[in-house]
Amino acid sequence: MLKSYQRRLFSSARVLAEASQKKHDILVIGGGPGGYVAAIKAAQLGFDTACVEKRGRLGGTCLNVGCIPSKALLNNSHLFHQIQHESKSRGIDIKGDVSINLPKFMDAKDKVVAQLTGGIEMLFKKYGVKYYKGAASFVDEHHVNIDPIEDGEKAVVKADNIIIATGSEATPFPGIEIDEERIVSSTGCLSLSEVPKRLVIIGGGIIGLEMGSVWSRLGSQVTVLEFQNAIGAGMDGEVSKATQKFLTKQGLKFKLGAKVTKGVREGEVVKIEYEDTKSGKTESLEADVLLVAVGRRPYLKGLNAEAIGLDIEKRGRVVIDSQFKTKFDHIRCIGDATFGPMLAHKAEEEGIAAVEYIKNGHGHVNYANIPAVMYSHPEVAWVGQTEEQLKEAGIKYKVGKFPFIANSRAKTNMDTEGFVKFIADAETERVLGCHIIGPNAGEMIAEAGLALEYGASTEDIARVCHAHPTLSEAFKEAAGSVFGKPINF
Amino acid sequence: MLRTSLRLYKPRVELLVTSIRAFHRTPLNLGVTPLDMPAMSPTMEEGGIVSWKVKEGDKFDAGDVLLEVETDKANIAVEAQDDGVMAKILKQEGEKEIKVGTPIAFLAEVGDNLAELEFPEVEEKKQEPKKEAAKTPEPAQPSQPVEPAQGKKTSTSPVSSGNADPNQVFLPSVELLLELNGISRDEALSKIAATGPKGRILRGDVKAYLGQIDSSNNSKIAAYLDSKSHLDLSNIELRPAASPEKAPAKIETPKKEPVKITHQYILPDNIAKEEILNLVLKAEQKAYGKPLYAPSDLIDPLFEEIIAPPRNAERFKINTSFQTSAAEPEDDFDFEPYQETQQPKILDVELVCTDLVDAKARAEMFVDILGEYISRAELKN
Repeated sequence: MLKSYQRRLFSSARVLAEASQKKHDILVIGGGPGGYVAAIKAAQLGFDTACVEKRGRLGGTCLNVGCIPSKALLNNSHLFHQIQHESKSRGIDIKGDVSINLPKFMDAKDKVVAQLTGGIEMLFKKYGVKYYKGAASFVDEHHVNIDPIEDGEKAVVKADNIIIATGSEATPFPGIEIDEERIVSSTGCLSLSEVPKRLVIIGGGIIGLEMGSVWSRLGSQVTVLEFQNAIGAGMDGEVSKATQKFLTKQGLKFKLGAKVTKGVREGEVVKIEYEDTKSGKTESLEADVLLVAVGRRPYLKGLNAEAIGLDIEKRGRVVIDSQFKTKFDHIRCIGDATFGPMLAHKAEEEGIAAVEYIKNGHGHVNYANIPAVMYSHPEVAWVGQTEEQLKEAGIKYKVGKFPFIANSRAKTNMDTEGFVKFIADAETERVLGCHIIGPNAGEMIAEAGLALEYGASTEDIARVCHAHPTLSEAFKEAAGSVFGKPINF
Repeated sequence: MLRTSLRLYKPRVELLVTSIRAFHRTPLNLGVTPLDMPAMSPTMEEGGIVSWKVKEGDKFDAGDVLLEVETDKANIAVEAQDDGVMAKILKQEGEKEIKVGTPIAFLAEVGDNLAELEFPEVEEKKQEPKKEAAKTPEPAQPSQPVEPAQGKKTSTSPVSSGNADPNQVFLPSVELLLELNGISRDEALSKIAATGPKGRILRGDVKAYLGQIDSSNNSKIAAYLDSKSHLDLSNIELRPAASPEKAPAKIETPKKEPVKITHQYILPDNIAKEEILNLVLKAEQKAYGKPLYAPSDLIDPLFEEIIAPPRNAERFKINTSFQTSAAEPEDDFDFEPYQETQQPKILDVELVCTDLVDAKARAEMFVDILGEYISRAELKN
C-alpha cells in the first residue's frame, strides 16, 4: 500500500485557494496519529471533514520525530551491531571494515518518514479530507482561525464539531536549556550529526532507553540517570529488572535514584551533576551529548483553548468527559492532549471512538487493553495488569513464564534473550496481563490483547494451535505453564 | 427420550450472505420442542413462510432444509441441526408477518409416537420483544433440574448482567468443561451467568456454575477489569487560569487601559494656586455626591444609589499641573529662574478613572463642576 502512496506522492495538484470563510461538519485540529485517523474515519462516515496541521507534514510527533524515525534508527543500528558482533559466530566472513555512514544512516530514516507522511496526505485526498496547512486558534467556540504556513491558505473555519488532537511535546527539565545540539530532546537525539563518545540520558523511560540502545550500538558510552528506583516507567517489576539486566549486558550504564541537579553546556561538553538520593552524595558527569527524556506534556500552544473557556487541569491536560467532550459538547479532545497514556495507538483508538460518538452516540476504547512496546533488542512489550497493580487491588493471581532459551525458533535464530510471562486470575485462569521480553515481543503482544479483549483464560491460549517452529510457541507454552507444566522446559 | 433443551438450526443462506449461524429457542419443557420463527438477521423482526419442505410426520436429518423463510431481504432456507420428526405445523405456507420467536411448528425426536404427543398451547406473549431475544436469552427457568450447587444469578455486579450472548463461539476451555460435565450448549447459554465481555461465557463462569469456585470471584475480576477499562476522570484539579505561557488570545479584548480624561483650564489672572487647589477638592466632593441622573419616572435615585458602587469608593485620581505661561520661551538659553510665587496661567487636569461603572460619568461631571467653580471665582474677584 505504501508503495502506491509513494508513487502518487507528488502527482496531485493543489486545489486552488477558495474563499476564506469555510464551513465543515468536523474540524480536526492536529494531523498526528489521533487527528489524522479521526479525520479519515469521519470522512468515511460521510462527514465533511477538515484537518489542520501546522508542522508542514502530517503524522505528528509519531511519524516525524517519534515512533517511526526512532524505529528506523533502532532497526538499522541493530543490523549494524549484529553484523559487527555476530557475523563470526554465524559463519559469515566479512572482508574489510564494517562501519556506520551516519549521514546516509540518517537519510534512510528521513526517507521512510517522508514516504509515510506523504502517504497520509494521499489518504486525505482519497477520502476527501480537506487539509489546512497552518496553525489553528480558536476565535470562539465555533470558529477556528487558520494562520497559514508554506503554501497553506488563510481561513476562518466554522465547524459543527471540533476535535482537538494537538498532541504533546517533550517536558523540559527545570534549569536545563535544550539547544538540540549538545543538550537535546528526543527530537534532536534522532538527528545527531556525529556519534557522541559519551551520551548521558536523563530519564529511564521508553524514549530514553530506545535512544540509549541506538547510540550505544553505534559506539556511544551511554549512561542513564533515572530518578525512580526502576527503569521503564510502568513496566511490571520483574520485567523492569530483567530489562535493566540485558541492557547493562549490552553496555548501558544505569544510575537509579539519581536526582539531576545541573546540566550545563560548557563549550563542546555538557557538565552534569546529580544527587544520589540514597546516599545524598553529589556526583558529577561529563557528556558530549545530554538527552533530556523525562516525559511529555500536552501541547496546546497558540490554540486559545483557555481563552474560549476550555478547562485545563494542573498538568496541562484538557478536561474531558467519558465521551471526550470538553466543556462544550461539540468540542472533543483526544490523544496526548488529554488524559491517559501518551501512546500513538491509544490516540488512534480515541480518534475513531470520538468520531463514532459524533456519528451515533457510541464509541469504545478499552483502556485496560492498551499495549506498550519498547523497541530495544530484545523488545519489551506488555498489556494488561502488572503484578504490582494486582497486589494493590488485592486480586489473587498466578504467574506462568516460559523462557525463549527453550524455544526452538529463538534457538535457531541465536536470539534467546527474554521470556513470556502471563499473569492470570488464581481461580478462573482469566488472563489479566502479559509481559514479554524477547525478539519480536511487540508483534507477539497483539495475541495477548486479543485474549484480554475476549476474556480468555490461559488454558484457552494453550489450547490454540501455534505454528512450529515459531517464537509464538513460547507464548503458548507460557500460557500453559500458569496452571500446568510447559512441555518444552 | 426427548430433550428439553434448546436445539440449533443453521439457516443456509441462498440469496444473500448473512452471518447468522444459529438462533435461539426457548425450551417449553414438554414432550415436543417448538420451532420458533428464526431471526435471519440481527434487524429482522418478522418474516413469512414461503414453503415447508417437510410435512407433518416427516422425518428429517440434521442439515435437511425444513422450510424457506421470507425476510425483507431474501428468501432463506432453514436447516435442521439435529435429526427429528415434524410433529405439527402451526403456521402454514404463505403466512406473512410472523414475529420472530413465534412458534411455527412442533418438532419431535425420531421414534416418538406422534399420536401420543401433547402439544402445549402456544402463548401469544412470545411475540413480544423478540428482537432482543435474538441476542439475549431468556433467564433460566427455575423449575429446571440438574442445578449444581451455587453460582449463576447470585452476582450483583453491574458488569456481569449474566446474560450470555447466544451467538458466541465458545472459548476452547469453556467447550471442554461443558463437554466434560455434560452441559449442553443450550443449557450453558441459558443458565450460566456470563461475566466475559459482551455476554461471553468464560472458563470461570462454567467453574462457578459447577460450584467449583465462588461466583463472586468472577464478578470481582470483571468489575476490576471494567474499572480499568475507562479513563480515570475523577479528582481532576484544574490549573489556575491564565497560565503565563499562554499566548494572549487574538480575540481577547486588548488589555484594558484605564480611561483618562484631560482638561485644560485657562485661569483668571488674579487667582492664587492654593485657591485653585481648594476648588479642585470642592469639585471632587461635589462630583462624588451629585446624583448622576435627574429623577424621572424611570429613574429612582434611591434605587440608583443602592445599585451604585459605594459612595466613598475612588472613581478617579486627579493629577494637576500648572503652567505659568502657555507660550514657549523665546530663547532656548533663556533660563528663567524658578519662582514659586509666579502666577499660574493654565491648569492641566488629568483624571485617571477606576473601573467602577460610574467612574467616567463622575469624572466628566468633575470637569464641568471645576470649570464652573473657576469661572465663578473669576467673577467673584
